[in-house]
Amino acid sequence: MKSAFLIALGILVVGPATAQDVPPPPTHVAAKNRAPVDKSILRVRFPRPKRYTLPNGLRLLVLEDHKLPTVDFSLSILAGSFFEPKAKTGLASMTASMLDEGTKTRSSQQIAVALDRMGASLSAGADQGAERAEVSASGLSTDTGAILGLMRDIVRNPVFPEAQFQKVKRQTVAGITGAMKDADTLAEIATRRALYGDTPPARVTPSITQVNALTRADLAAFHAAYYRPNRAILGVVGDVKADDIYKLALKALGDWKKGSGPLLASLPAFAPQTATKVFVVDRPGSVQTSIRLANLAITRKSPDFVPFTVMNRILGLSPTSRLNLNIRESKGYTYDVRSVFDAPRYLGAWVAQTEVRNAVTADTLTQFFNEFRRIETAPAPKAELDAAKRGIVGAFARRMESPDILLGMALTLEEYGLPADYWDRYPAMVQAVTPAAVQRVARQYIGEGRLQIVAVGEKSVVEEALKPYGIPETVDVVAGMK
Amino acid sequence: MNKRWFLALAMLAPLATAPAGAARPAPKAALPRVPRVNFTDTRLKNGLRVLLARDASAPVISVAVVYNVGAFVEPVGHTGFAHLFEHLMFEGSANLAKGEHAKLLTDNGGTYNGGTSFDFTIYYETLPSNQLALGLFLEADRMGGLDVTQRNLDNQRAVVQEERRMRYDNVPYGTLSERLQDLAFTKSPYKHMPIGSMADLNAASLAYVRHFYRTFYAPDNAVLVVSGDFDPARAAALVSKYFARIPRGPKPTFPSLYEPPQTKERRLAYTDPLASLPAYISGYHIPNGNHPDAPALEMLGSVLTGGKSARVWKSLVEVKQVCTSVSAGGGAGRGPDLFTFRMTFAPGQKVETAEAALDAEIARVRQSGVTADEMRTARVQALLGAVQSRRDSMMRAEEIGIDAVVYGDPNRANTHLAKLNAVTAADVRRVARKYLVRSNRSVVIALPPVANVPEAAQ
Repeated sequence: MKSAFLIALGILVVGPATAQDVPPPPTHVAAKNRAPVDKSILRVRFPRPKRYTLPNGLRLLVLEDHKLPTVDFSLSILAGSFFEPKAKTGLASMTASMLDEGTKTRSSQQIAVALDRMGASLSAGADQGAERAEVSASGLSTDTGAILGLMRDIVRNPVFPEAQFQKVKRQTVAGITGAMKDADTLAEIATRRALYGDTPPARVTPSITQVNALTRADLAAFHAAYYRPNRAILGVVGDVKADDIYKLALKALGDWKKGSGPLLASLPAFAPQTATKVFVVDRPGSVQTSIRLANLAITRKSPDFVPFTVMNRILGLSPTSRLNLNIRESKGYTYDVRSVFDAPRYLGAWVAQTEVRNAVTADTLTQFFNEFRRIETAPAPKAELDAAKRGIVGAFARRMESPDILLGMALTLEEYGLPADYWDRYPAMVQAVTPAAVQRVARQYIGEGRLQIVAVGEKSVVEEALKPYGIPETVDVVAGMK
Repeated sequence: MNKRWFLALAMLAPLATAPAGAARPAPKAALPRVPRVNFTDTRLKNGLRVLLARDASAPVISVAVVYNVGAFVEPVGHTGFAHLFEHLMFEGSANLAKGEHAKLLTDNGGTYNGGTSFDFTIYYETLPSNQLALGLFLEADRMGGLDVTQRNLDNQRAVVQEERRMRYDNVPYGTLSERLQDLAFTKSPYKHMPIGSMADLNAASLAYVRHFYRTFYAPDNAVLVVSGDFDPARAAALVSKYFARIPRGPKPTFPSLYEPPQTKERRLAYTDPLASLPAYISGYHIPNGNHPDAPALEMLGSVLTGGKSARVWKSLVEVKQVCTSVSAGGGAGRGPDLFTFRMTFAPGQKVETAEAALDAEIARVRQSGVTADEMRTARVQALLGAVQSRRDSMMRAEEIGIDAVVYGDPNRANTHLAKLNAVTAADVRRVARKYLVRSNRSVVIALPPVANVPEAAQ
C-alpha cells in the first residue's frame, strides 16, 4: 500500500472499495429513500494535543487519552531518502532499519528482549521517495519511561553492527527480489518515473547492487548528519500526562545536539506532464493487467486542496464514486478501482488505478476516459456534490474514537505549518465547494490529454489495448532493480 | 500469530492474538487491567441474539451482524458461496435500490465492511452516533429479504473472480495456504478456502443462491451487536422495531468438521511462476479453539515466534540467518484446525537448511520445554494484545459477536486472557509433544522458476 497517498489526504483512510451495485445507467444510484436518516450532521470539536518545543528545537505533541492503558510514540525526522545521494539510493532506508540493531550499550538481542518482555513494539523505517524517516513505538502506559528510553537509545546511539548489517541487507535484497514480480510495485515505479523523471520522489526502490554497495560508514555518516532534534517532531498519545511526558522527553532528549545544514532537501521545480505518454511493463504470467493513469496535481497548501479532495471523492474515492460504480459495479471488471492523490510540500501525484482481467483491459481504459471526460465537461449534479460533502464532514465524528488519527491530524498541521484552527474550519471549507469548482479542478489537474498511462501485464495483451492512446514505450523496470 | 483465513472486502483486523479478561498471577510489577467489554445479552422471539455493548467515550456507534455461516457449511461443488454472499448482501431489496445501502452509509459519514472466514461471516458499519437507526435499518433490511437477480449475481460473481485473481492468482505465493489446507485436510470442510474455486463460482445458479440465502441468513442463525454511544432503551426499541418482524428460518444442517487422524507426513512442492524466491509453510493438526489445549497452543506460538527475541525467530533469523522471517501459530477454529509455521527466504538461503533448523527447534521445545521467562513474556504480550483488540467500537463489536457465533460465548472476550495466564510451562511442553509430530504434519514449498532469480541476488 502506498501510505504516502493516504497520509497526504488528511481526509479519510479509505478501505478498498466495497461491494454495492447499480443497474444499467452505470453511474447513478436510483435511491428509494425509505431508510431512516438523521438529516443533521453531528458536529465534533477535535481535541488539540499539548505542544512543546525543547530548547534544542525538538517539537513535542502530546494527546492525552485515558481510555486504555497504552501509549504510542511516533518520531518523524527529516532523514528520509530525499537526503541521500542518487548513487547511494537506499541509504536512508537502511539507516532507519538498522537503528534497533544495536547501540553503544545494547546489542540487537538486548533491545529485542527488553521490548518483548514489555510486550512492546518498536519499528523504524524510511520509505523510498519520502522526506521523512519514522520511528514508532507502542506498549503499556505503565512502561512509558522504559519505552521512551529505548527509543532514545536507538535514535541517538546506534552503532550499526556488521553481523546485523549483513542480515538487514539480505532481507532488503529479498524484498527487492520479490518486488520484481509484484505488479503493484512495478506499476508504482513506472508511474513515478513517468511523473518525476530521475528525481528523489521517483526512486521507489534501490537496486540490489546499490544495497550491496552500502557500508556501515555510509550509515554512520548519514545518521550523524540527519538524526538531529531540530529536524524531528515527536508525537505521543495515550494514558499519560502531557507535562510528565515533557519532563521525560527533556531528560531523555534535551541534551541531543542540534544539527546544522538546511532542514529541507532542495528539489527541482516539478511540473505536470503536458502530453500523454504510454508505458508498458512486461510481466509474463500475469492474469490481470494493472493500470495506472496519472499526473502531478497539487501541493498540500494549494488553495485547491479542498475542492480537489471533493472532486476526487466523487470521481474515484468512495464506494459510490463514478469509477467504482462504472468499472466495478456495472461492468464487473475489477475488485478494486480508485483514484488517489498525495499532496506533500512539492507537487504530488494523482493516480487512477485498477487491476482487471486481461480480456477487458482495452474497455477499462475506455471507461476511465469516459469518466474523466464526464467530470471535466459537466458540473457535478448538486445531489451528488452534496452527498460527497456530507460524507466527508459526517465522517469526522468517527475520528473521535481513534486518538492516533486525531494526533496524526495535528501532526499534519505541524508539518505543513497550517493554522491551529484549520480542522475547526475544515467543514465550512468543504461546504463552500461549488459544482463549478469541482469541474474546474478536474479540468485543470486531470486533463485527459495529459495523463501518463502505465500498464503492467502480459506485453502482448497490454500493448494491443494501449495502441489507441499512443505508441507504447516498453520500460524495463526490473533492470533498474538488479 | 493467529491465522484464520479471512476474506474481507477490506482487511478486517485479524482476530486478536488474545481476547480479554483480568490479569491473574501478576508477575512482579502490577500490570494494568484490561477494561471489560460490558454488554447485555438477550434474544428476540424470532431467535435473534442481541448484544448491546454501550461505551460513550466517543460519539460513534457500530452495528455488526455475525451469521453462523462460512466456508465450513459449503459442500463440495459449492465452494465460495458464503463469500459470494458477502457481495450480494449490498445488492438491494424491496426497500433499497441497488447501491443504495453503501450510498446511505458513505453519504452519512459511515464506513462499512464485511468479512468471510471458515467459521463465520460478519457484516458491519460504523456511523456517527446520531445515525443508529440507519445502521439497524440497513442490517435488518438485508436479513429480511434480498433482491437477488441474475444480473446482480453475474455482476458480483465477476467481481469476486477478480478478487480471487488479485489476491490469489496474480500474486507470488497466492495459493500457498490454499494448497496447505487442501493437502492437510481430507474430510473437513476446511479443505477449501473461503474464496472458493473459479469452477464453483461459475456454476453458481440463481436457484441455489436463493436457497443458500433462505437457509443461513435468518435471525435465529445470527447475532446482532450494537456497540458505542447509544441510549440502551432507545437501542432496544429500535432493534425490536426493525428486526422483530423477520421470521425464523428453517433449521440448517451443519456438516461434520471431523478430520481423521493423519498418520504419515504429507509434502508438496510446486513451481510458482510469479515467485522469485521460495516460501515454506507447514501445518500440524490441532483440536478446535474451544478445546482445553487451545490456550497452551496459543502461548506456544507466542513463545516460538512472538518477537525478535522469541526462540525460533532468534535462532533462524537473527543467529543462523537461514531465513528472513518465520512465524508460528495455531488456528482456533470451531473445528479441528492447524498449527502452522511459515518461512520466507533471501537469495542464497536454502529451504532444506531452514527446515532442518526449524525441526531442531521443534525437537528442542518438545524435549526441554520452555522457560519461566518465556512464559512471562508471552503473558505480557497476551495482555497487550487483549488491550489493543478493543480500541474502537467496531473491534469490540467484532470480538463479542464472533465469540458468540464461533464459540457460543460472547463473554469469552472477558475470560480468555485468564485462561492464557493459567497456562504453565509444563502445559506448553505437553502440547508441543502431543501435536508437533512429523507424522501429523503437511508441508508445502513454493519454488521460483530458475529464470526468475536475478543474478545479482545469487
